[in-house]
Amino acid sequence: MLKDVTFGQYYNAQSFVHKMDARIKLLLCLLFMVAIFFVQSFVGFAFITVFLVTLIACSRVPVRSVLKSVKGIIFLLLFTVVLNVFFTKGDAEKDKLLVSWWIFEIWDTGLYFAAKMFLRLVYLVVGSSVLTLTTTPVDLTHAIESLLKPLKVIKVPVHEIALIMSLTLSFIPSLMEETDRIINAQKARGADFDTGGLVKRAKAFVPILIPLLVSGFRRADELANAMNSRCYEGATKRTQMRVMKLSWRDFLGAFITLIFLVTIFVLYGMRNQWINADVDWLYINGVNWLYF
Amino acid sequence: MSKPIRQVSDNITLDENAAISARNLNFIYNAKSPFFKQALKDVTLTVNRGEFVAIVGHTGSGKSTFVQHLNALIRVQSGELYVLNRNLGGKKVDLKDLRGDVGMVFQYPEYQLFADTVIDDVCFGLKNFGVKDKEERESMAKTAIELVGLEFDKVKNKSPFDLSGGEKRRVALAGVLAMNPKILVLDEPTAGLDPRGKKEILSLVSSLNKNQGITVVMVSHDMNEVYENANRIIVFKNGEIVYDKSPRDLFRMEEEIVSMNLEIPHMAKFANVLERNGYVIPSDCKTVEQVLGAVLKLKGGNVNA
Repeated sequence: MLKDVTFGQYYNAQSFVHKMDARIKLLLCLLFMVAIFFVQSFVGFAFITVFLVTLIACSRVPVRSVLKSVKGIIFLLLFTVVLNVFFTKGDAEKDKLLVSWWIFEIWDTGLYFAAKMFLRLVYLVVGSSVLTLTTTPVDLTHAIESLLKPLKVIKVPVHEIALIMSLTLSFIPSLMEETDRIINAQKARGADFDTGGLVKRAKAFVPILIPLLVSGFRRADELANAMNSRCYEGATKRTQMRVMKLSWRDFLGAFITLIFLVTIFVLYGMRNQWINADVDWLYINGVNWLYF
Repeated sequence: MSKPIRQVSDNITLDENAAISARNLNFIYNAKSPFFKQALKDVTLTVNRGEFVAIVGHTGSGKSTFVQHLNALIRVQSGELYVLNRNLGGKKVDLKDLRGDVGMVFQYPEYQLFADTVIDDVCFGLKNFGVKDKEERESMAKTAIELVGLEFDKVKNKSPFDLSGGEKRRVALAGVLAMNPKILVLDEPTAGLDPRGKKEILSLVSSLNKNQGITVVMVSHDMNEVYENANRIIVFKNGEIVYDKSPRDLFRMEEEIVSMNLEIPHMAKFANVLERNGYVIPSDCKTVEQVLGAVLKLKGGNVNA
């Protein structure tokens, strides 16, 4: 029943993006997310689209798996689009009023705004899921540990945080299995999880949660004992089994990504500079493409 | 004795004596995916009421998948399965009714305990199966707790988490037995217990089978306990039944058993050696005492030794 749920969504393949260093991918992903919010025009979105299409092609992940992650935010998307379409008030002098009914007004700017918001959210999710699809959770924790290292100076227990993260990840499959077993055992004793009101259903989970918590503590105890008996003493003198090294792929990948991202920032700057400027080449059919 | 017989489909004729009948049961995990695995392949067998059947086989041989079919934790994908005259392949199965009649004890059943007190935990199943009256529930729980060899007044108000490992397991067993199942399915009931705990659980299961006529289906890895307790052993391999024999007959085939990486029980080995040397002992002599008695009888010595 729970076996179908996978944590993380790593897609196993051999590709340029898969082979890139997790730290670089993580940093670029963060930068990408920031850049998304600087995209103001459809021209900018066109650039981002080209970038994402190239990225997905290079990662050899089926488009369908990438789009699966969008499914998760479908309600957020609908909500945002509907709100923006109906409640964006346009400027009567500049913009066109398309529909007006009761308290609802639909302006052309509202449509554009909703479309941009939609694209922004979708690209945000798609961009980050390319990271999780091409990087194993273990590599990701290593990357986080490595990137947080400077914080050690101000006494942040970076190694311990990373350890907690990777232990959590490694325990998920066995806890899933355990949950499955407990659910079956309680079903065999007549437990019913599918009928009844909300309160009754919530109560039905007690016979699952308590044994699960108990076994979680038991496992944690056992693990602590096992680590103690192997003289584990934290970050001191520990080396990594997999040393992360930068290769030409990382530089090339970062270079290409940065070209796109810099373009975004340049577009943003140009827009602010020339938003009302009277420059001929900015106008196509009387519309300023930086603004559109 | 005449038994009412009923033709339920082209393939299965149910007589009232059958507790479980399976016909061409197939089960596939993760169909149409890279993790595709056929867990059951054309499993056909009949277990009669009152039998003590042991199921053995390696991890991944399909035995767990099969036993989970018995109370519809896994639904029939293809083939036919009748348990206590209920068609489990049918569209509508009264799950509660079925699960009350087929008690399932999972591996490490003590991990399913959750209630504040032992008596609450044992009553959990009864409550679910609709025993409304509290007094009645508690008297049923009392019977079950005493059946598994615990002192009711001593343990009833204890937290199940304060008990020892062996006691916890017995409480969990009591939780299943309280529902008065007609079939008891056990998945490695003795795993992780000390020798004494093992013996106690096994003699409990044996006596339930002998004295109360409960049909027992037990999955186990321990050939010695299987040999001594079951009256029929089914060997699963790669989702198929490869042997379905009486313990004595099964372990007479030493080479085949060893080639399947299964162990030959001590007493079976002993009896085999005796047989090869021309001393035939009755096939129902399986424990040390029984075999010893048979040997002494052959020698004409004192049987009570």
